[in-house]
Parts: sequence; C-alpha cells; structure tokens
Amino acid sequence: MRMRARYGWIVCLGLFLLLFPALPVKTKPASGPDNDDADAAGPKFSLEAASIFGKRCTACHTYGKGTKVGPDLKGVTDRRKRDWLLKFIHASSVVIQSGDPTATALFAEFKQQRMPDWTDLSEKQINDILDFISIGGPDIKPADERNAELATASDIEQGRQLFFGEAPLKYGSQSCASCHSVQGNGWRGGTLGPDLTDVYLRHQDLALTAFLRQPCFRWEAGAAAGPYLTVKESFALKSFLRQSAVQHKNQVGPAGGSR
Amino acid sequence: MKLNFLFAIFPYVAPGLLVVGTAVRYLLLRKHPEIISAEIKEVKASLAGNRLWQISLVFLVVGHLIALVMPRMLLQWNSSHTRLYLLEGAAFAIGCAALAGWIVVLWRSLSRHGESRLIELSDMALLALLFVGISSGLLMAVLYRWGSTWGAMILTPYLMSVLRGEAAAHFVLQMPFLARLHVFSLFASIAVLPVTRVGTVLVVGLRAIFGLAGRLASGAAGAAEGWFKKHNPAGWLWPEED
Repeated sequence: MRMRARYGWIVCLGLFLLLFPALPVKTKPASGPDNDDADAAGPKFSLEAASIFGKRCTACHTYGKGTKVGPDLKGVTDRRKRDWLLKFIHASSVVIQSGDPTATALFAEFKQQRMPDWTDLSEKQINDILDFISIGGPDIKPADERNAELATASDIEQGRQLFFGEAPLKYGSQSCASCHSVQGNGWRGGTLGPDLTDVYLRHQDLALTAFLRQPCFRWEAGAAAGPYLTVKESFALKSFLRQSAVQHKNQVGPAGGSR
Repeated sequence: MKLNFLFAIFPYVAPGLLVVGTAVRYLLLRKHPEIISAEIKEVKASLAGNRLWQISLVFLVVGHLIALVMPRMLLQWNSSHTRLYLLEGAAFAIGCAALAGWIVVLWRSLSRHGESRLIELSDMALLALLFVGISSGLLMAVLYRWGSTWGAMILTPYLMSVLRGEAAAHFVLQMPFLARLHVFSLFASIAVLPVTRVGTVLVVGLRAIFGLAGRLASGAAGAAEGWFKKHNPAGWLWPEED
C-alpha cells in the first residue's frame, strides 16, 4: 500500500513537471516590437480601405496622375473638409440637389457625370478610405506585397519559426504546422490540411499574398472578422514557403517540380 | 442537409433520447430491484470488461474532456514538439489499449445470453459504436497527424457551440470523413445508452439521486414540522388549551 502511494506521488510529480512548461507564458514575438501592421504602413493604413479604394474609386479617379472621369484624388483631403467629403461620398446626389456650391461646380466641371451614391459604406469605412488617401495610401505598397524573392535570411528564418509555432503569431492564430507540413522537416507538420511544400510555385507571389490575408480556417467564432496575420508575418511565411518550394524543386529536379 | 441534421440537430436529439430513455427505464424498473441487480451483474460480467478496458476508457474520457474544457492549455502544451510527440504517442497507446480491451468485452458479450433480445441488440450497437469511435480515433492519429492540436482548434469550438445551444456544424462539415465519423459515434453512443445494459447503471444512479433527494426532503419536512410545532401561533393565542 505504501509502495503504491509512493508510486502515485512519483507519477503526480512527473505529470506536474511535464505540465509546468505548458502553463501560459508571455513569449517573445518573432519579429520584435516593430512587427505590427500599423508600423508597417502608418497608423491609419487599412487593408480594407485599400481594397475598397481599389474596387470603387480607381475606375473613375487617379491618385496623382491627373483627371480621369472624376478629379485626381491626391490631396483631396486637404482641398475639402472631412465632413463635406463624408456627405459627398455617401450620397453625392443629395449634396448636389441641396445646391451645395462646391458640389454643383464639380458636377458642371465633370460633364454632369455624377458619382455613384455609396450608401452601403459606413461612416467608418469612408473615414478609413479618406485616411488611406491622406497618408498617400495608393502609393504605399503593403509589406506583404513585396515579392518573396527579396526576402532576407532573417525573414525566411522568421517565417520558419512562425510556420512551426516556435514563435507566436501576433493575433493568437495557431501555427500553420498544426494542420500543414512542408517536406524536409520530418514529422513536425500536421497532415490534416494539404502539404504546402510547393504551394508557392503553384500559386505564385500575388495569389499567395491574397490567400494569406484570409484565415485559412474559421476555427474560432468571429475569427474571420478579426485580424489573422500582420503584414510582416504574412511576408515572412511567404518567404519561408518560397524557400521550401525552391529547395524542393532543386532536389526533385524540373520534371518532378512541375506539378 | 443530411450532414447538417447529423451535426446540427442530432447532437440535441441524442441527449433527449438519453433523458427520455433513462426516465422510461426508471419507471419500468423502479419496482423490480431484482431485475436491476441481475442486470448490474450482467454489466459487470460483460460490458465492464477488464482493468485495461476500464483504465483506458477513463484516460480517453479525461483526455477528451481536457481538450474540451482547456483547449488553450492543450495548445500551449503542444507548442513544444517533444510534449506534442509525448501526448500523441501516449494517446495512441491508450487508444490501442482501449481497442484491445474492447475485443475482450466483445468476446465476453458474445458468449453471454440475456433474457431480452432488444437489450442484447442494443449492447451490440453500443459496442459497435465504441469500436467506430476508437478505431476512427486511431486511424485519424495515423492519417491526420496531430489531432490533439487541430482537434482543440476545430472540434472543441464545435462541441462548445453545441453546449451553448447553437451548433456550428460548419466546423465538422469541413472535416475529413473519419473526423465526422468520430464525432457522430459520440452522439450515437449517447442516444443508444438507455436501451443498453449500461442504461441500468443510469437507472441505479437516478434511484440514488431520487433516494437522496427524498431523504433530504423528508429531513427538511421533519425539521419544518418540528419548527412549526414549536412556533405554533395557536400556542400564543390560546396558551390555556395546551
């Protein structure tokens, strides 16, 4: 009986020692304190605003390249008051009909071509677009859009650490290796999701950038709405995936690498 | 649609069947303690299995509960590759032990014949579902590595959503067939439980709860009666009548 109790204590102590490192600890981010999106492109840069700007504004406006269908938007936030811009973007027809002198002058200047009413955009979304314009957003290339060919050894190493969960992702997302593996790294990656060894060569830089902007699995309620990776993390992961793909292609040869 | 039923509606049907089935069996057996004790003996002789079966089942249940209740801690544990390998290796070994124990249980169950054909059939159905659960778990461990990590990421939120009453079936619907089978076997086992011999254990548990509640109520009633007797207003109003 006494022996059994002693074994029980030894087992409990062993479990405790194993469990101890699993207690939550604050781990150091992979890329130091400057790894968040805000630092990468200014405090008001928003990928959503950039996307809306690309989809809704660029068809009729340029940024610093002169008049298109409508006026050049470079400096528009200095030329007009924020309140006026908010009202005009939300419902230009209402502003014109109200007899606003600036709006009617613009309407006359641009051959009575009225801007569509973007009533589906919230005030915050319009403000974000205006912020994006005011900081010269259209001229800024987000860090994750850089071609992975330009990655340094440090970027690739950072990507490797993030991929295998050796460094935490800023927004608490789980590492890619939870479900995916990359050849040449033993059993470290999971096999629930597809093998990502050649994913860079299959999708190329731009498509992979766009893919990494979306959570690959809605594993938590509301996760799809929240941020997933910072632009720097996205670039680091892309760089690691590129290096893995290139290494694999070199090992297998051109015939084996052309899947 | 069918899959949506299995993972969005059936998770609530199964506990409903468990409650109703247990209540019906309780009503049928409550005045037949001899049948209850005979069936409990049968459970001990066949389904309870050997020590290996019991210990491995306890470990499997506790392991799954930890993943359900403390997924963050589990993910933190798995953040070290050594600990991940250790956990997955141990879980696989326990799964294999459970499978070995299951074979023994099946052997014992096949060699015994009870009075009720329905209960025998449901026992076999429960054993089959347990086999599906254990073997799909083992196969997943082999084919879809690191289930303790992705399970905590994907299946735990699903089960929590079921417990919250708003089953988010999309978590499971995106999973491979084996994972869906594993989850379904859990709910199906819950559903058939009351019509198996294990259901008698539930009846015994229910009897014990009712017995305890009855004793508590009777004690409380006795205490209340005593208090009312002591503080009877009639005693103050007509003291001479005492």
